[in-house]
Amino acid sequence: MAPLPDRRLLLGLLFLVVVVGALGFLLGRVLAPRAPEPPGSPVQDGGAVDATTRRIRLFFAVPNADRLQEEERTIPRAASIVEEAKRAVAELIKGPQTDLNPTIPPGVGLLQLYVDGRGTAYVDFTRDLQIKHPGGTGGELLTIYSIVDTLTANFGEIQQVKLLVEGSEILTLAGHIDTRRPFRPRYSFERVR
Amino acid sequence: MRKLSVILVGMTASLLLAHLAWPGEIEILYEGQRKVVTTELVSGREYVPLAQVAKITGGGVLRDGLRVNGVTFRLVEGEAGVVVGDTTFLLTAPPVKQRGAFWVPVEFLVRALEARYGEGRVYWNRSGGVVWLGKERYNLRLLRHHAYPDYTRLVIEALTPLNFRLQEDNKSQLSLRIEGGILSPMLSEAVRINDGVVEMVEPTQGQGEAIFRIQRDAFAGLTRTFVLNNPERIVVDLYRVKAAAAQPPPETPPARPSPRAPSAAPAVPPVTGLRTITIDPGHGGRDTGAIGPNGLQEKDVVLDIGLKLRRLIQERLGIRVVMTRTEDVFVPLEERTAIANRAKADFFISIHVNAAHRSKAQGFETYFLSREPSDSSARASAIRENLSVNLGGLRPKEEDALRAILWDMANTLYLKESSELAQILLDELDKILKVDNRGVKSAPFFVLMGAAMPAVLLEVAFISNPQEEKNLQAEGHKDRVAEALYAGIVRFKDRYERRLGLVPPAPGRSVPTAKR
Repeated sequence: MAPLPDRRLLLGLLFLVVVVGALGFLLGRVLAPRAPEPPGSPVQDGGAVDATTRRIRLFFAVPNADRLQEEERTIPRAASIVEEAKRAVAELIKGPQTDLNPTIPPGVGLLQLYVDGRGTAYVDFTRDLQIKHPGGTGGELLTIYSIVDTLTANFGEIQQVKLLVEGSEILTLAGHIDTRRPFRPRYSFERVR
Repeated sequence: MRKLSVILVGMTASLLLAHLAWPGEIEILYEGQRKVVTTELVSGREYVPLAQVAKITGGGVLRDGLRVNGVTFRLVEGEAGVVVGDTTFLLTAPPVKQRGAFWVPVEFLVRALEARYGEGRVYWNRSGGVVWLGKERYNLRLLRHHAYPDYTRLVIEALTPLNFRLQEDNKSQLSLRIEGGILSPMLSEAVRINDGVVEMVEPTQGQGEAIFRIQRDAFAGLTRTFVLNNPERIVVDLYRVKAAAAQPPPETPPARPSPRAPSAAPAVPPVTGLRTITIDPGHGGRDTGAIGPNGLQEKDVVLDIGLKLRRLIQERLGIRVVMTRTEDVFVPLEERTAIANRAKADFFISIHVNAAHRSKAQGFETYFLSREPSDSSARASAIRENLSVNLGGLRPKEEDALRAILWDMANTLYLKESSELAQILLDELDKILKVDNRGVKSAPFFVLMGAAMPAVLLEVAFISNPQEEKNLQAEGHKDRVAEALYAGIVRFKDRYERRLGLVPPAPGRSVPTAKR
């Protein structure tokens, strides 16, 4: 009596393993991290509609402002990573389309963005980034890391981000966090203790 | 060059005449010209019109400052901090406006001339009322001093690397001799320090060298010197005589008994426990901090809470409280921890209220400092000055390795105490506040970077939340926040002193706790 159900179970399990494995392989191919596409080359990532657009992940504030959350958006492909990064920041400035909260004050302009050979992006904003900032450590962290995370999550060339205002290094955005150095990504502001 | 020698002759002559100079006038000798500017007294200090400074330096007056030789000085009426590029320097008195135009203290003219003619060339005889361009450039810019618990640090900023030696002249005096050192006019007077280690430092210009005579007080004879670069600095550490030193010289009494030495009086706090707290109410003056939907300003709320907390600590705990500000004034961020360092505070509490965009966020959170690993070498250099390690004579490779180690040290130096203090204060806030407890967090705070002590930053509410803004307007609410912070400080003090193995407070003198 005993051997029969065991064998069925075994076969069933084997089938499951094969199916899961195949699915995993396919998924892996689709989701595996790839080096960023050279400009103009055909894209085949899951989210992209065609070769002229790409899906990016923007980071906005959750309603209680204690962390960032992704929102997907499609932007037109550009001739260079720098141009695409500029578009990503422009989308970030426009604000969220879901019930997340914006992290950059309305009216702030992006003046320039460039990436050096060591993976540091310099993002130069208009003075409004400081003047119109609501202040608070929480608000400052959200602004800084929404920019940093958006750029580092979407562009493999960018490892860290330095904020500038009208071409110059700034000490802080609104009196708290030291902005003289570049920031590495940080996706939440979880408790440390 | 010929022009300069003419100036030099003029300079000598003018020095002779300096005594005759009318008060209320300042004489400027430059490029073969002699200009006399009439000064005006504002709150007892001599001021000159910004327009005159522009004229003399060939600069242009801006709506908010002055532009000289490509350098922009940004001025704000009533604020002593002047922003030049990405740095700030402090004037001895803030610029004022008269009939719509800026007036600035005389030393601003010196700064502007430096921008025009180069650092190291502008000399100023303050008492004689003369400013001139010198032929010889100075290379020693200024002297800073800083009292740490165990030693006093003297830092001399130089414009070029220079050789030096420190020698003992006699029991009460040391001399730091800097080869080829030329003193700037800012080093023309003796600096009284009187911090219990060093009485004063007197710079004098010698033949081919500059000499800094260090008059010592309770100084143990142990010194350490080293150099730092970018900017060039010569650092001298002078160690304090330990109150309970192993063998104090038999004939000489302990140099100076600690003001809080144990005594018969029961009300005197313990010898070396927690003695000084710095409270830093965030923002102030032109920096309003966050603003609530109904217009309540962070700078006012945090000053109220800070002053309430000070009163509680002074009345009940009897330990010294040093405030970074007690009124609505602007204090640069670097200055806030400098105040705490000078006061030798045992810890530093910066009080803030939070804000976020268009958000329903509410609650309180406490922070301590964490640094990002990507800091520049300039930053590491500042840390080296703050840490007492001799890097003199190291090769660049060794220096890099050491820098990495120092980096870790700076990260962990006060980390444990700071995070504990942050947790204790959070717990106490949690007991009285009915809003979200957002936890203890860490971030690279500008204001906490320079602290040579455990330091925390508190965000006690979200002023951007209408309900919390309303709460923050109520005196009773601010009283309760101050009580909670006070209770946290009492707990931290107890823990700190127990760890040091100090005897608990004398019986009959109960440690008060917050009433709730």
